[in-house]
Amino acid sequence: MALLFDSVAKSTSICSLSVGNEGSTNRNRIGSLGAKSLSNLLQRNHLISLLDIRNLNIGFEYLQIMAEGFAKSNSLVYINLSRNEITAEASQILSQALLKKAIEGLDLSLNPLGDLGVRQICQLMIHGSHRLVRIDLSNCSFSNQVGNNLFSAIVGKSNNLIRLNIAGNLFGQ
Amino acid sequence: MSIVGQALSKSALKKLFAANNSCGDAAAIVFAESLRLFTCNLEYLDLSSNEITDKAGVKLADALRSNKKLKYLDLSDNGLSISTSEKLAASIRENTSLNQLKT
Repeated sequence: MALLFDSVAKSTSICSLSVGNEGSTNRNRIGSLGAKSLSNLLQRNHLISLLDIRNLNIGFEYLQIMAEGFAKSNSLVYINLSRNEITAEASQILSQALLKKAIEGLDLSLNPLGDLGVRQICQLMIHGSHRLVRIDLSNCSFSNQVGNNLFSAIVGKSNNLIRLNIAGNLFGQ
Repeated sequence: MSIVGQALSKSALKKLFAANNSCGDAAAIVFAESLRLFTCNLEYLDLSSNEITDKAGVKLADALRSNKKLKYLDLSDNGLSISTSEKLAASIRENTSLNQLKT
């Protein structure tokens, strides 16, 4: 995957990159080299606006490597990080990396963010320089209390949000 | 008004997927009350599999009478009786925006 990212980094036409695994297939693997190459791509290429890297077993280790790329990209608008074993710790790194970015859509579904991880996303919604328009936090294992934090963010500074997915959590309990 | 009610009635939120959250009647009544407000912008609301019973179902049916923006409402896999389904059916005769209702 590192080779692919190195090539895309030089592309002057590709604006949408989808390399995630769909469904139960796990053919694509990112590894630390791929994560580093993706980070470099995001820093060098100024066209990629949509990045789909779902189900690549990214976790804390590889997200930490990619964070600089997210922070320095000036074109990313939508990121799909669904089903990547992203925990609260990784969520904090992601939120900080995206704080000053023009991200409009973020898919973090099927990640074990828990209450702490979703609180980090609330911080991004409140303090981010650009307002999220769509966010998917389905099946992220957060509670009613943090669900209320999420809605507080919507009432407050994140009132541009148009699409919210919180299915499969413990919001009503 | 609860924070959820405020979010639904004072924001740009158009699509809310909240299936399978054990919301129960209390939360569903908040949704119903918000849907009655003309400031609520929701067009898509998925409340399937949320342990909602007739108590909230009737409120949702009432809200549909006056709501003019909702296009999709999913109440499937909840504990709604035939009587409440009939109330929903009566409400959608007055509603002009709803395109799809799932019960």
